[in-house]
Amino acid sequence: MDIFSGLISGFQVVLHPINFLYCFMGVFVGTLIGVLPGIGPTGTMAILLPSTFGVSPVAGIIMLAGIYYGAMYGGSTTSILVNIPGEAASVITCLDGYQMARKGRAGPALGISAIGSFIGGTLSIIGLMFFVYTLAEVALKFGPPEYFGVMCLGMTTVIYLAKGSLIKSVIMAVVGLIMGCVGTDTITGKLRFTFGISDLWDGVDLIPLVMGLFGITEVLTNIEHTLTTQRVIFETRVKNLLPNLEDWKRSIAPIIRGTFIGFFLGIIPGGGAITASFVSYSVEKKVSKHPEEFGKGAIEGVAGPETANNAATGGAFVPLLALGFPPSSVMAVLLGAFIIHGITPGPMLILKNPDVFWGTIASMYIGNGMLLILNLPLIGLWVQVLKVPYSILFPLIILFCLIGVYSIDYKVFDILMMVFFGIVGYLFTKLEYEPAPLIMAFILGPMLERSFRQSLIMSNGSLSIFFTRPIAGAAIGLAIALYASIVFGVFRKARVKVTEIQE
Amino acid sequence: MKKKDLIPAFIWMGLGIAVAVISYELQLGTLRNPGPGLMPFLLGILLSLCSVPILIGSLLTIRNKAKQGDEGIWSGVEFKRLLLVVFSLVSYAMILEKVGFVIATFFLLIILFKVIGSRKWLFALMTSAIVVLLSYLLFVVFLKVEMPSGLWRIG
Repeated sequence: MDIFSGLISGFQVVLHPINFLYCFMGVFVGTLIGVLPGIGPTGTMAILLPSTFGVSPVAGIIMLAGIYYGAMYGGSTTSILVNIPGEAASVITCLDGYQMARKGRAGPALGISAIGSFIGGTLSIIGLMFFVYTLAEVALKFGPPEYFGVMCLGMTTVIYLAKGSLIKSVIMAVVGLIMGCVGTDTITGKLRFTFGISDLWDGVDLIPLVMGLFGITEVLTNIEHTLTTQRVIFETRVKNLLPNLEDWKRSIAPIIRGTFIGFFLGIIPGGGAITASFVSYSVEKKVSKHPEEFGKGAIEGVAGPETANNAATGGAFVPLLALGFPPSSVMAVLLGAFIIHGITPGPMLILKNPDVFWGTIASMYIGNGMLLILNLPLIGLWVQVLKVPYSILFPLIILFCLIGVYSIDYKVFDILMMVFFGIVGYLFTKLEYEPAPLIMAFILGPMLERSFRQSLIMSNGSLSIFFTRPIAGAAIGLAIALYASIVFGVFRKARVKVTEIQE
Repeated sequence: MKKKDLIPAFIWMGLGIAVAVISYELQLGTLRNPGPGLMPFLLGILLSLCSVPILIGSLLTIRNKAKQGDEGIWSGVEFKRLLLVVFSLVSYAMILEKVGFVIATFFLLIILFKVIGSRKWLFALMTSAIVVLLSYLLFVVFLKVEMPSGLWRIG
């Protein structure tokens, strides 16, 4: 099937009333949780994953994907109006978005971020289609050593790009891999690390883990102090959403650059929407003729990053759909959703489940259209949502987590696991350990191990198989080079520190 | 590395060694025929190795700035609030299947709204009742999630 007819069939899938409804629910919930600080797309997708058990895989995936890119739209609203990021990828939008609001230009700021998001979102889907198509064709020839190499490289860039201490990211990844080993060994059928608990025979479940680390942890971090009352919303009545001619002239180049930056950083494992928005902002500041305006309400500082974080969502789907490799924790949850619905994303997806593949892609066009309507004419609705205080919000978040986690298997054990990971996640936050490498390593662990052991069986126990096959060798070589640069960098920093102390 | 990193470093080291020991007993196999313990064994060793630089780093920091206090990550944290939430959630898990979704959720919400959210009694009671009703309608009636009915067969 070529791209054009594939896309047509995809639109037929989405225009089916049920799928259309799920697409709308996804982008609606996405915008909602994007607007609300204190809950992000990763946790929400985990909460709503069990509710997709009853529908077709394509409807479920369409909805979960909608939550992800919908959140990118909603996040900017809170950044601009309250100076608090509604979503992590909108942190940078606070800088200039809020300043624009203070100058009475909240309307154009909201307008340009919705329009930029739409342009970045839709253009990146075009890129996504072509990249997945070509990459999947290459990946069809991959054997276990190639998969092992690519996964190693992916994990390495995740660790490399994670914020904070590198050694801590490595530890998180290793802990994630170890947690992935819990349960029945897929090759020999032996039980590992179950400690006599039968609930662990199938391994640690992804959903309680993600809900704990991203849902409960977030709540615990927010309630550790007595809650303060009402947040201050700068402008409750938003006027003049459409940017004027001057705004357009200044925004068009940042939007185009943001699309490219976002899309390509989205593809790179560990890059993603947050990095994309930061890179876009610093690029815009550098190329600008008046960098002194940045931080004081420059529209470029809103247009660029808001476009980039949406374009990154399109990019993030490339490795997931083409290789079955999730480049971020959000995509790891989506991968979990695919697997639960009995679908393996990867090179065979286009051939085996064309309805899911093309349906998901087509739904992103439709969803972005819906989001433009939700976030421009209906922006007033979200401003009202912002007035909900956290003291009402967090019991609801907890309740949704409880119902969501219990409804996976109707097991109390899952609730306890979620609470446990919530506490662990809280400690991670306090001690500055990033959960993203852990989640990704956790979901990749079993695949990584299987490909590692299959490769060794293929090669009769010779490790050289990972270096002599060109693609595997190149990937592992690149991973080693990245680690070498990390280690070298650490030594250099340590040496500087030692000399400082001696002096 | 900072002072607060010391205890976690010990935990990672202990965890890594424990994982390696357990994996060793699971059989490592050979490279030609890798067993179930091989991968976790390597990971366990890697984990304890990774804890070493953190350990050294935080020990150095402690020695150099011995007189300075901790970075204060726990300052101002109201542990009572956190413990209460965790305790309520664990209790919820314990009683859920016995008393049922409606009753367990109602009490959980009251605690959360009243004690953690510092809302007034009347508000907490009313809101909890409304939220229980709506969530029951949404999840149990509409989405057909089978939450436990427990006592009195409601919910």
